[in-house]
Parts: sequence; structure tokens; C-alpha cells
Amino acid sequence: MSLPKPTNPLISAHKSSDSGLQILLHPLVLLNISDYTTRHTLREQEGPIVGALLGQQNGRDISLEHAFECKVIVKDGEIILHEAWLEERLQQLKDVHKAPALDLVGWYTHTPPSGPQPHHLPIHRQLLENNESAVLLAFHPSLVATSSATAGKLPLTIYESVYEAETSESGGKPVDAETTDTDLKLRFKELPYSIETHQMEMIGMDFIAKGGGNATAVKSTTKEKVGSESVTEKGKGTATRKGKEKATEYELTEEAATNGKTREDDNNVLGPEDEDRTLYPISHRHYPTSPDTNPHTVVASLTAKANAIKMLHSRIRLLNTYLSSLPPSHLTDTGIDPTIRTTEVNHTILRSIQALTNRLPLIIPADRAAFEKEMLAEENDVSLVALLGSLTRSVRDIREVGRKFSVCPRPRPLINPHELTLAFPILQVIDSQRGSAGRGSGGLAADLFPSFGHGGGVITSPTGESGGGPRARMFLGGGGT
Amino acid sequence: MEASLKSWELDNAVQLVDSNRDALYSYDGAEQSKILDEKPWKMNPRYFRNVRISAVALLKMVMHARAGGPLEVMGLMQGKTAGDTFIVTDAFRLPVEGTETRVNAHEEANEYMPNYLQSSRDVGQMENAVGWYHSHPGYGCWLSGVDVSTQLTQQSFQDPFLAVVIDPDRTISAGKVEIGAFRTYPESYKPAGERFGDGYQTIPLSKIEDFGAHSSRYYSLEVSHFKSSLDTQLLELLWNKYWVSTLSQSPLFTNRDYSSKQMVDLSQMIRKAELSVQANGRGMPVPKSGGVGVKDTQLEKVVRDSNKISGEEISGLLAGVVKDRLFNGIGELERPAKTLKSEKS
Repeated sequence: MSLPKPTNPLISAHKSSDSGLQILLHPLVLLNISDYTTRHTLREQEGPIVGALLGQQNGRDISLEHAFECKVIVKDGEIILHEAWLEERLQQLKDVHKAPALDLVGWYTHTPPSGPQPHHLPIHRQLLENNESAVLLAFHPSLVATSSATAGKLPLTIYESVYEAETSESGGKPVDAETTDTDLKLRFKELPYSIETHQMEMIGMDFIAKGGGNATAVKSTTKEKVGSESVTEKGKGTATRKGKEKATEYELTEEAATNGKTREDDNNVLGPEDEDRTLYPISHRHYPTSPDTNPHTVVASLTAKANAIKMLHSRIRLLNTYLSSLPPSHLTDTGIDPTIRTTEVNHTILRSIQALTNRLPLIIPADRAAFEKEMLAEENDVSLVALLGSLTRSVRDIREVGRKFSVCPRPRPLINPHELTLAFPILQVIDSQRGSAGRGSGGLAADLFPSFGHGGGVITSPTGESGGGPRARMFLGGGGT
Repeated sequence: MEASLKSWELDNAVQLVDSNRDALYSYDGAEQSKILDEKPWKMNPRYFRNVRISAVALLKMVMHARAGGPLEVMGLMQGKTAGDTFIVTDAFRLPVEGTETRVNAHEEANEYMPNYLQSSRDVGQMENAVGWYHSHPGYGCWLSGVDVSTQLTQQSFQDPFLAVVIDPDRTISAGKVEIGAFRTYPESYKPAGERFGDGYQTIPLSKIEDFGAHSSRYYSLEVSHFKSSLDTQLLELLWNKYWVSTLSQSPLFTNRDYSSKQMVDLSQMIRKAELSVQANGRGMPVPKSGGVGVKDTQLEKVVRDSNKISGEEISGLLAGVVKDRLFNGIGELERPAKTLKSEKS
């Protein structure tokens, strides 16, 4: 096989895509591919890993939102998709993805980093019959290990296909002579893509990313120990049917192996794995929601923010470093020695940096005053809710005090009733002032206690009115803005 | 030539997968049918204790729940069992929506189900359906009366079967996936004194009756999830792409409906608590009847709920404040720097 060579005859010679297609890739597609790859390998299934991509096409934007694996058959020496099966499966998925409606927009497979190979063409042609802008998501398994180490790009490339007339440099090559029979040849062009996530999708991803469930969360303190256990577990072989202990053990194994050193490249994983406990936005929320974990959730969301800001900072610093490493201007200062080694000027990068800085003023809200007013309103809302929270807490505490108090002073009148008669006139004055005159001497304790009971009631009632009511109204009223 | 190419692809894939770490992704048909024959769950109504959900299944369910908006959605889970654990490997949607229509739509779903499972088998996904999931938008993860009877039917005809409930609204506001897994007790079984409700839940007053009436007929299972080693690597790479959205999201805004609903609910609860406090205060001038051990359950609930809401609101506001500090006013400070940069380029 003549792979991987610098020029793949199937990649269009024309450099960048001029069709303007924008790909929005959703993480679910990636997980689907990964899921199928893992399953395919472990169950030792035959055939290539091929799947279809579902998404929406809106003008020049194509979103890839869903994926499913496909059945392939060999027909006339070519590997193609099983037509009837695909149709049925597609219909099944369309039935449940109606809003927004998803359609077949392309397919995925594993390819070497150099791009699609001749044997990928039949399937692509098959899909082109239905959708002339079908894209190919080429997943590069061989890049997975390296790209995670360099924290670089995802190990995949998305191609669109074009028909091109023979060009002088690619014409007449024997590789594609057998796969194309007209003068127009199918060529692939790389497309730019960006990752898009719904908020829900992101929360889901975070949840998944933060590691296994409770079992691993508990075990994370005893990583080393679990790591050594997992080794012995592996020694027992791969027969999985051993009931519960085994199943959970394997899970631990999975986690532990990630943190341990059972595989060579796991050493790479150790760092990021620990790091992502703080990197991923909501990674600290291991615990079920209970009022006591509130500080944790706030802290966790702040940590996530802090990490994102760090990331932003490092990106900006990168731009800064790049800009300062550029050669000084030849126009303003002619006496510069051109032999000093500086970074080569890349005009595309410079232009995008300029575009970015030009866009900066747009971030500032047009109507600053209105924005601030809105922010203030929001802040007031939240403060009100916080106040309500502390109020209710105080009410509970006061009730508690009242209850405890009622236990303590009760025996006192019995011990020294004389004292009480002395205090009686004063108490009566107090009572008459409160409008509840005419209680007997035995009423001291009894009077004190219900006053606490009432106190709770009195405090609660403005809480209910001023705290809950207006706030709710505010929210309902503010919903339209 | 084709064959060699394919085998090359397979060889390449092997390095991505560790057969030990990813053991849950394998499937042994004989083993599963043996379990089916033995039916170990017949002995003990609480035989199953754990659920493990794969990354892809979890994401699919969560997104489906959100896609339904205020409507309840429903789907099935594929997977297997091992000991007292359900292993959910994948999930798919059913063409059913909404509470009222469920009974009728069941016919349609009944047809859809076997077809889907069959075409899954064609591509080597041999798993059977091991459960169903549906969403409770905004009112927490528990089983209603209808859910209980659905689950009971499924368990008697299609055991092992599992019910999973997801709350998309709470997921957004809490920032973590709100998910619960349940199994019902057989009709004849009465849980011995022990009631479900180990964890406190906030349930809207409109639903609380339904919640209370059936809570003794089912129990919840421990839910956790798993991911393959390849998933882990991909997720790491993804973080590089989406730290931006951590900064850009604004939970206060996106979840306004939910939080105002919570507020209305809280005010109702406060009113209730107020009544009970007043009644208590007047009712026990002599604190003999009260006793120290008795707590104000209503008040306690109010406190918990308002704490929860204020916690969520505060973290929502913080997001807004951080954004404001970070980006507003950037123009004023950056302008001189900007002109410098553009001169350079």
C-alpha cells in the first residue's frame, strides 16, 4: 500500500474549499463513533467501521447531530451500504427526530490521516445520489494517541466532494484510473468545522467526563490501591460473567487503569485526568443535591469559570507572543538588519487577528445604561432570593430557640413561686401593653412560649408576602424581556 | 485488495480499545440467555441494585428529554444485566410524546420497537431492550401512578426491565444530570416498613399527591455511568473546544421559566408552612404536646428549597457578573492596543 504519502490523489489539488460550507459538529456524533468502534472491536465484528451522519442542512451550514452505524455489503467487488437496511433505519430515526427534522447528510469511516482511499468511493457515490452535498467524516484512529498528548485537534477531518476535470498533475495516475470512468473525477476537499453544543448536551458531557459514578468517586481517594487490585483482576482473564463484583471491578479497573500505569500511554492520561476534575465546569458535583452542598455547587461553578478564564488568558497570551515575535516594520524603520531571525509572517493569521480586534467593540452592549439597569434588576432578584433563603433559615432557627427555651424555664415557677408574684405586676403591664391583658401568674412560661410561637408566625408572614410573591411576579413579568 | 484494506482498518482500531477497561462493551449472547433462563431476580423483589449507563446512551437520553421541552418524552434502552447490575449500552427514542397520548401511542411504539431492535441486531448490536426512559420536565425524578403500572406490566412480561426518569429542567438549573432509575415491587410484595425516600426531593405541590400515593410501590437503583477509553480521549480533546461555552452560557436567562415556577411553588409552600406554624403556636401554650423531637417538617422543607433555589440563582448571577467584568469595557481599555496591532499588520 502506498500510504501515507504527502499527496493523496483523491484530495483536490485546489487548496481551500470555496463552497463556503460550514460544518457544525456535535459531540454526540463523536461519542457514537467511539461507541461503535469500541463495540465493533470488542465483539470482533467483521467488515469496516462505517456509519451514517444525521443532521440539518441550512443553506451553507450543515450540522452533524446524530450518527448511526451502517450495514455494508459487497456488491460487484465494491463495498457499499445495504440499501434496504439503510432506508429502514433512516426512516426509524427520522420518525423520532422531527423537531428539528434531521436528514442524512453524510457518513463516517476510519481512514488514514492522509485522507480517503479509493475503496471509500463507492459508498460516497451511493450517498451522493440522495444528497449531492454529502460529507465524509474521516476519523483517524492512528492520530488519537498523538493528538491527545499534544492537546491539539480532534483526530478527524471532514471532507466535501467535488467533481473535477482532469488536472495535469493528478491526471493519469493508475490509482484512480480504475475507480473513475469519466473525465470528471470525484475529489475530496477538506472543510472547516466547529464544535457546537446545546447547553443540555454540554451538561451531559460534563457529567460523563467527570468520571464514573459514585463507585469511582468514592474510590478516587484510594487510587493506588485500586490500581494494584485491577492488575490482579486482569490476571484472571477476560471472562466477564462473574456477577456483580466482577462488573463493578471492571468499572473500577477502567477508572483505575486510567489513573494507574498499566499501559504506557496512561502516564499521559494521569495528568489530564486529575486536571479535568477542576477543568470541567461542574466536575465537583459528585453528590446528590442536598441543601448542604450549595456552597460546593457555587464553588464548582466558580472554579469552572476560573479555568475557562485561564484558558482564555493563555489563548490571548499566545496571540500576543505571536504578534511580538513578528519582524518589526520595514516601513517605519529602514535600518533593521533583515538577517535577524524572526517568525515568518503569516497573513491569514494576521488578518484574523485584526478581524478579532475589530470586533471587540461589538461586545459592549449598545445601550450601556439599559444593560446596567437590567443587570441591576437581575442582581436585585437574586439578592432577594438569597435574602429569602436566609430569612427562612432564621425563622427555623428562631423556632428552634423557642422550642428549647420552652424546655428550660418551665420548672422555675415551681421552684420559686414567690419570685413570680413579685414580677407579676410588671408582667401585667407588659401584657396590657401588648393588648393581651388578664393572664394568670402561671402564664409566665406559657406567655413566653407562645410569644415565640407567634414570633415565628409573624416573621413568616411578611416573608411569604414580600419575599415569595413579588419575586415570583417579578420573574413572570421579567420573562418577556 | 479490499480485504487487506479492511483488515488494516481493524488493526488500527485495536489500539484504541483495551479489552479489560472496556469490558462492558462486549456482549455474550449465550451468557445473557442463561441469565434469562435462571431469572435470579424472581427470588428477591429488590434483586437489582445498580445501573450503569454508557456515555452515549446517557447523552442520547438527556438530549431527547430536552428536545421534548415541556412535554414528556419516552424511549427505550438497550443493554444487558450482570449480577444485580443493569448495564445500559444504548438508547433510542420512541415516537411517543406527552402524558395524555401515551396510552394510544403505545400501539405505534409497539410496532416501532421490534423493528428498531431487529435492525440494530443486523449491525451487531445484539442487546435486548432492558428498560424504558421518560422525562419529567421540572418535577423531579420519581414514578407517577401511570408510570408505576406501566413498569409493573413491563416487569411481569419483559423482565429484566428498568425504568429511568430524567428531569431536563432541573438538569439545566442544577448543572448536573438529574436522573433516577427505578423498579417496582411485585403486586404482592409490601416493603417492610422501609419507605422509599432516602433522599429528600423537591416536588411541586401539584404533583405531590401522585408522588406520595405510589412511593411505596417501587425502589430506586444506584445510577452511575461508564465511558470507554476512546471516549475519555475524545472528551479531553473536546474540552479544548468548548471552554468558550462555559464562559458564554447564562443559566439565569435560559432557565427563567423553570426558576419562576420554582418560585411560585416556594411561595405556596411558605404559605402552607405559615399556616402550620401558626396552628402549632396557638395550639400548644403548654409545650407538653409539642416536645423537642418534633420538627416543623413544612418549615424544614421551605428552608431546604429556598436554600437550593438561592444557591442556583447565585451561581447564575455569578456567571453574569464574571462575563460583565471580563468583556464589558474591554473596548475602552483595548482601543490603544488595537490600533497598535492593526498598524503592525
